[in-house]
Amino acid sequence: MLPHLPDVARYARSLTRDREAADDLVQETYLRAFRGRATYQVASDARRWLFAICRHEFLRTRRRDQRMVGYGGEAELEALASAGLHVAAKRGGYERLFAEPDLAPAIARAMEALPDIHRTIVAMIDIEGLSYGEAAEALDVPVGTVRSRLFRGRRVLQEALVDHARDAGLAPSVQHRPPERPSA
Amino acid sequence: MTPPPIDCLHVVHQMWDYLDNELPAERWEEVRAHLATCTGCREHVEFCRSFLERIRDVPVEELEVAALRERVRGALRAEQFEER
Repeated sequence: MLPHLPDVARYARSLTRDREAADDLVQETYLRAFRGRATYQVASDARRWLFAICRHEFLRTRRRDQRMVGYGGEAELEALASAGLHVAAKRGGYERLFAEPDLAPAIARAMEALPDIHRTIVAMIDIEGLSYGEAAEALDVPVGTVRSRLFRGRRVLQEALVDHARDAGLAPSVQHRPPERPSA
Repeated sequence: MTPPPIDCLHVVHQMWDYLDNELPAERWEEVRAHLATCTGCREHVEFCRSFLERIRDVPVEELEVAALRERVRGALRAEQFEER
């Protein structure tokens, strides 16, 4: 199970956005996995099993700390706003910014800056790979709420990364990158 | 009767559902057919697809992982010891 630790750590970090809390969560995940090892099916996906334990533990702790606040009905507007961002990125010359190799720290910062309710959904769906229905069930909210939180979270992340590309002057290196010449 | 083709606005509204495979098969196929003929929507979907691929790899420093691995090993050893 320990070979999956970097993935579990990355997932825990994206759920908690706090290194100390994430490390505690990873440790608790492995302890719970150890205690529940009798329930693990040898043929099943160990990484997925650990992710599910990690998420359960995170949500259990958070429910204890606070009641979740729900809202919904904005998914389509958020999807439209993402399209607007694409247009802005294209105009600014940042259309290929997600291919930029140095983007990783900016992504980590943008994830950390996301409000809890958006970051949790983005982590569950984009990193753990849950479906909208599975995330809705885990959080006990309607699928519509999952969609609006997810789309907003993604839009805010995209916005932060487009801003980063502009502020860091990434455009010249990501725009009109010439195709590699075939070797002779 | 063949349903009318969907327009760009519908595609943009359903773009994340499309990329996440959350659309019913028939609707997913309508979006795919639209993308095959519409350069603007196709570029937008590719922009968002590359975004999703990138955020799936949020980095964690290798040094931090090594320290955490040791910590978890220690906790598991203590747990095993308590079980004896």
